[in-house]
Amino acid sequence: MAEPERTGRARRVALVGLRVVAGMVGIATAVAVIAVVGLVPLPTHAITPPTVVVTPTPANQTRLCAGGLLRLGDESGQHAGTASSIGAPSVRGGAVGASLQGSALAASDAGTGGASSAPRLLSIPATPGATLSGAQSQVAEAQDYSGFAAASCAEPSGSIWLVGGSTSVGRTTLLTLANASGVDATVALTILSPDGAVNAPGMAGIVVKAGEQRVIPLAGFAPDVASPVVHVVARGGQVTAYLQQSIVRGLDAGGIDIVNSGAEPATHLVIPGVRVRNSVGVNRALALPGWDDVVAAVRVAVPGAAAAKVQVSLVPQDSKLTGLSFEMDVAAGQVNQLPLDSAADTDTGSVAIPDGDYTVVLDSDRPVVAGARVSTAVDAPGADGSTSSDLTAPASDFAWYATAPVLTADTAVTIAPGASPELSATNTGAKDVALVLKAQGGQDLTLNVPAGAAASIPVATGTTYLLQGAKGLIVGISYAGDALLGAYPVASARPVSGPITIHP
Amino acid sequence: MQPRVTAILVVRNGEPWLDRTLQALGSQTRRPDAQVFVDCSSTDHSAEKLATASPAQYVLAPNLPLGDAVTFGLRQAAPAESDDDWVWILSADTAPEADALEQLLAAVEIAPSVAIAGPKVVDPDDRALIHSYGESLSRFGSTVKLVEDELDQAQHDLDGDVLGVTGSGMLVRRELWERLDGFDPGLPSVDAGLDFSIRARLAGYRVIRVAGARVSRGIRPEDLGRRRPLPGRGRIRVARAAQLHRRMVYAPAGALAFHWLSLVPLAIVRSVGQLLGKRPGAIGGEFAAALLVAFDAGVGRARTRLRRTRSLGWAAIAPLRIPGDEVREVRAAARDRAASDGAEPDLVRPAFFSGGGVAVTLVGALIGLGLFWRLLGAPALGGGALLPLAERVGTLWSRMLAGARDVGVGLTGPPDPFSGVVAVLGSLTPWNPSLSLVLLWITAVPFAALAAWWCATRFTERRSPAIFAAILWMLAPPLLAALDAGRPTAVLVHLLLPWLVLAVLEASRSWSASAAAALLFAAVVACAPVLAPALVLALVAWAFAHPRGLVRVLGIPIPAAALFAPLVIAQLVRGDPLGLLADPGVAGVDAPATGWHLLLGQPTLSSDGWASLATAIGLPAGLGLLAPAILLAPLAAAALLAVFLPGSRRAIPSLIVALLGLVTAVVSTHLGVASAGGQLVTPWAGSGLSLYWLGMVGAAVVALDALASARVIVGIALVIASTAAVAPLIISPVVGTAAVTASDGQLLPALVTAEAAAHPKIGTLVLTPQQDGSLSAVVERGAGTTLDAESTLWTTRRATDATSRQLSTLSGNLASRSGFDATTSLKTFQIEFIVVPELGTDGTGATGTTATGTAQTGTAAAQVRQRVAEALDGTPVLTRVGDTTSEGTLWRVAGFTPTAPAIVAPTRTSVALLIGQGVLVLLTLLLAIPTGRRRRVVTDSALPGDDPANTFDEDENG
Repeated sequence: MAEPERTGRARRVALVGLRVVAGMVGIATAVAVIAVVGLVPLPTHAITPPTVVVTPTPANQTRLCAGGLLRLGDESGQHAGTASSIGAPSVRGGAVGASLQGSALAASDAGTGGASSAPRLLSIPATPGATLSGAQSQVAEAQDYSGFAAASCAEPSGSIWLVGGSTSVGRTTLLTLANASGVDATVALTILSPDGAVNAPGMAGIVVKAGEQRVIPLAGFAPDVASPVVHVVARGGQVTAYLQQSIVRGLDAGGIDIVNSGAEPATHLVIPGVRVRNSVGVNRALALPGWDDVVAAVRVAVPGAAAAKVQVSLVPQDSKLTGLSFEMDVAAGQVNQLPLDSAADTDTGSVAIPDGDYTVVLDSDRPVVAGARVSTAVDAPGADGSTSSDLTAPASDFAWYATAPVLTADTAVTIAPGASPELSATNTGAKDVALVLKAQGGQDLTLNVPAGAAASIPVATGTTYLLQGAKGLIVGISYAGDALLGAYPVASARPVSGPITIHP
Repeated sequence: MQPRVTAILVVRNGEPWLDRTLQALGSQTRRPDAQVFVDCSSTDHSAEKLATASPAQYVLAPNLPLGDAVTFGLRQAAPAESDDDWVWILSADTAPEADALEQLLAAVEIAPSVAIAGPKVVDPDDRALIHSYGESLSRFGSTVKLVEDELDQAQHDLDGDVLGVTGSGMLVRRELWERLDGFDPGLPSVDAGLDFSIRARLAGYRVIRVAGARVSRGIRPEDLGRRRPLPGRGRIRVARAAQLHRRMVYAPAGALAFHWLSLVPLAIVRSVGQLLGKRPGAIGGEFAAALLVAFDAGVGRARTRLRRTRSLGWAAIAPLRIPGDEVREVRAAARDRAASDGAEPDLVRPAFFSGGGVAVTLVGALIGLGLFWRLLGAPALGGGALLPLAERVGTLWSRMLAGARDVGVGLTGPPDPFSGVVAVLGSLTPWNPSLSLVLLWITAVPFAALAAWWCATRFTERRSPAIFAAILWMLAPPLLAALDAGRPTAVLVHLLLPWLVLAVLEASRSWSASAAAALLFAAVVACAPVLAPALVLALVAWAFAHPRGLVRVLGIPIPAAALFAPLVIAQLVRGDPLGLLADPGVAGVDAPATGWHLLLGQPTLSSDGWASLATAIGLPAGLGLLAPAILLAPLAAAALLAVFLPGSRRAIPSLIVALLGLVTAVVSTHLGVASAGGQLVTPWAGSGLSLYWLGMVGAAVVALDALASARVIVGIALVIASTAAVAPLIISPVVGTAAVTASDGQLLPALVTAEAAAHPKIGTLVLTPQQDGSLSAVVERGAGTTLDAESTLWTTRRATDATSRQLSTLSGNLASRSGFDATTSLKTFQIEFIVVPELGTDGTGATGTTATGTAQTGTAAAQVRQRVAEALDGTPVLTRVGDTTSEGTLWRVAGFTPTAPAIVAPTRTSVALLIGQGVLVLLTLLLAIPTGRRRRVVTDSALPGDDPANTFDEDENG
């Protein structure tokens, strides 16, 4: 019986040996598989998804101007609820590569429909590479209204930020909404104030019919707000929107301006070509009662749900002048407005911001919108050389500078008539730019804009320039005369018409 | 007068039997008066043997059937001397016992009316085993063997008169033989004796069987002269041909045409029966027999012969027919004998109720409810790759037709086989097909447990390993990831795979299991075509390891192949064979996992909750892999340990399956075969991972089975660690961060749905902003593209055709302020509505892999969305309808008038194709229905402990 026992044991030993070998092979295989799967990069098969890049059929390009300056009520002070015209603006337009057509908007709350004081619609037929621009300006010469207002004719949009205006005592702000498209637009307003968003009935669902201008006093929604910021959102047709602010101090007209739309909320904003004039006169006028809003100021609003910390820098173009920089906190959904010279020691009574061209740069940790207001007050010296009576109101005007967007291509700009117009360009890039202002009927100009700096050049009124090499620059137009201030930013045609990638 | 007997011995290659037969013939107590040996041209040494056996008349005949050979031999014999002249019919394998002839003669001598006497035909090795002892007809004319393979206990010995006897050993009056022309040449083997007996009876003679006479028979009558015995299906064919031949001969002239016309229809009906009886091989024989008889010239001659010799009416033999209930009894007895002959060994497995199967399923049901309580009461599901189904079941089934498909801009082509799965699923809840998906989600966990438990019982006879397997399977990372990410195909694959394994294991020995496996294989591959290579490879390996069931295993992919064939052709014509591997249904964009993730069973990066956890506590995301790696290490160790332990014959195939699954998963992540909105879509790696997990769990079960006392402790540790590894996947649906959500079943805003009710073909252009700032443009028809309407031909498209370019032009211009006149294009596409979905809600827009990615790409998508919205607002022909809803912002085309859609009838080819596929699936289904008796099941409690599972061993031995 020993024999089978031995074979049995031998078989068992062989079996165990076999298992150990199999196990070792298994473990080796497992390690090899893990190494290959985890570490070895494997080739990939990938199809090309169907993709079509569609270049949209070019549409008629349009620019819609702001229209003539308006007053609430008529000359006699009657009909205070309705707006009426105080004259027609000078509208200039120009087109590159196509022929410009113009027409007046057909209907307006101000009763200016079809007249020269109605918003003017500039358009060119769909032509590849063609572009157009337009601008208007007007000097107010009516009772209670004086000063200069300039505005660019804007491309209609669905979202417009207007930083400016005031509904304090003596300050009147009218919101004009114009719809030149073929479809009715439904507009919803958001008004931010130092106390947060304004809630008032009727702010949503404002219908602007096709080819119509609506005029809405801002005080109807936000009475007695010193520093409002308005966001216009249009559904349906796209619209243009402007604020027209006028100031009456006591009995004296303190100026008028049209607030142009600024850039969309962003963390880096630039206001180019802020021109300070009559700084001494302004400094003096500040002392007058009710004149505290002649100080140059920056207004910042936070549309988001989180507070923003904003670094405001005032950079002079003239290297001899020193810049200023300060930080301001803006709570979520609120507006904050501070004098541009907040950082300087103003107690001495000296002029903190001397005359000159400046660039206002805002850097924020949250997207914000901003605008700057600059005023002039003629420092009329008395006959005896001393200062005039403190009680005499000097001739004054103010201008709202909107933030200007970064230009994305060669852009046309039209210079509206006005006092000593200047084109200011800010170069945020790392390379010097030689900006060529190709005049459409006139003399071409060249402006060298150093990297990271700004430069200005006087331009001819009524001329349309094509800004060549403007990509990446931030450009604005400004006017400065005695008691005549105005400005408007330059914007490229919005990329909504650019090519788009479609996956069918 | 002394009867005279001529023994005719017909030999055709009967060498193995001949010695014994000749000796038996020689030792008869009543010697035949004459012997004629008819050699039907034997090719072996039969002739020499016959020659040496003397004294005999040796006749060399051509190769004739038994009856003709007898007639041939009789012609050579001395002519009949009187009426009392008898012929004794013997073949090479029929050895009569010594007193056989004496007994037969004794029986016929006392009854002059008897013309035919049949002996008891017994087994050559066991004289007590009766092969044949009298035959009769049922009421419908089929042969009834009165005794067949029955043990002789003298229970039939009293019976004298029968309707017929078999030809072997038959003693027949020579005069009758000559008058009736012998056996019918149309019945070369079976039923020859019966038919001859019937004709004798109709001619007025009696037929008896003689209990005392025994003749042993070596082979069946149909195997006479064959080198190899006929297989079962051949016997069925021969028997059927014989029965049909007799039917045509016996039928009244008036019914002949009817019988002739019914041949093929009856063959079809009987084929169904053969399928149900698990004899698919017999189907060919049914048709062969029908065709043979349909064009059988012998019928006419046989009818003439019958008419000439018949003197009595059919009523005369009616009492000898066997009534229906007795026929059933006889056949049931035969089935019992067959079953007990080829009895399978007992199946040992834990009992379902007491062995933990029910318990683990119930626990799974509770887990399923807990995981997806948010989906309770929902009419449909959304998120991930989930869409509602069509509202009507009929629509679901109509998707299976090849032809025009309402997906995207529309395409023409064959359906995905997955549409069949969807149709079956939707038909479970016919009042709201979408509900079936909700139920699938809630019950997926218990069904997974149930399937895994049953499957595991084939790997282990013990309770605890099966329970652990069920838990590991129902909480498998690929299942939970698929549930969380909303991947119906992967969920179905996970639920079906254990059943597939179970069926394949049985397939080598059972037709029913083979057909069930074929259906399950088709369903699994329809859900995840990417699994097909791995599964086919495994099947082929399994088939060659079990040659006994080669056909049954290799036949498993046939229904799947038939279902996929049109799609394969369509993709090959397009030149995109890899497109066949694309997941059916919605092309769901997901970040493919790295190899490390795949090793840990995680199919996508977004299912990696551990990485989010690591990032949340400030560790690098890569470290998040460490936790599941540690927690899953025990499972991997157990799986590898199985190779060292007894039972490696089960463990090694399991691990090979795991490897195949892992390779499939890895390959999946590198196959960008489809696209959605410009982004590549790979097949869902989770399907491969389910296979991977299956193999790992299988091997772990084998290891647990082999561990004696440590089994329960080790198992519990395994389950706890593996459950902890999937904790993020469990938490995600509970707290509602999973992609899958309850849905109201609306794909488009309510206004569109209402309009679609009246005009089912109106188009809605859906412009979805993509992360990279591009725009996907898709036309939805009616109430939106449901899951059943999706097509891989659409998701794997690459080139743009004129239609899609036209749609792109329309969409690009609608998304821009442009001078394009959209009216014509909108009319061409029958677009009444345009929808721009909200970002993030549809899974494209703002969803991204990482937090930073979301912020960046979300901005690009948001800008495009605003551009599109503004442009649409400014398009005069469009009106914005209401405000943004959860489905998106809606615009309506002003002045849209729907044109009546052209009703496209399905082409004849597509209908024929569908019918063909349907018949094949139906036949498989019939074959799959278990009708035979089951293997006896015993539970391990009834057995002494330590035998391992026998699933694999039997196959090795059998």
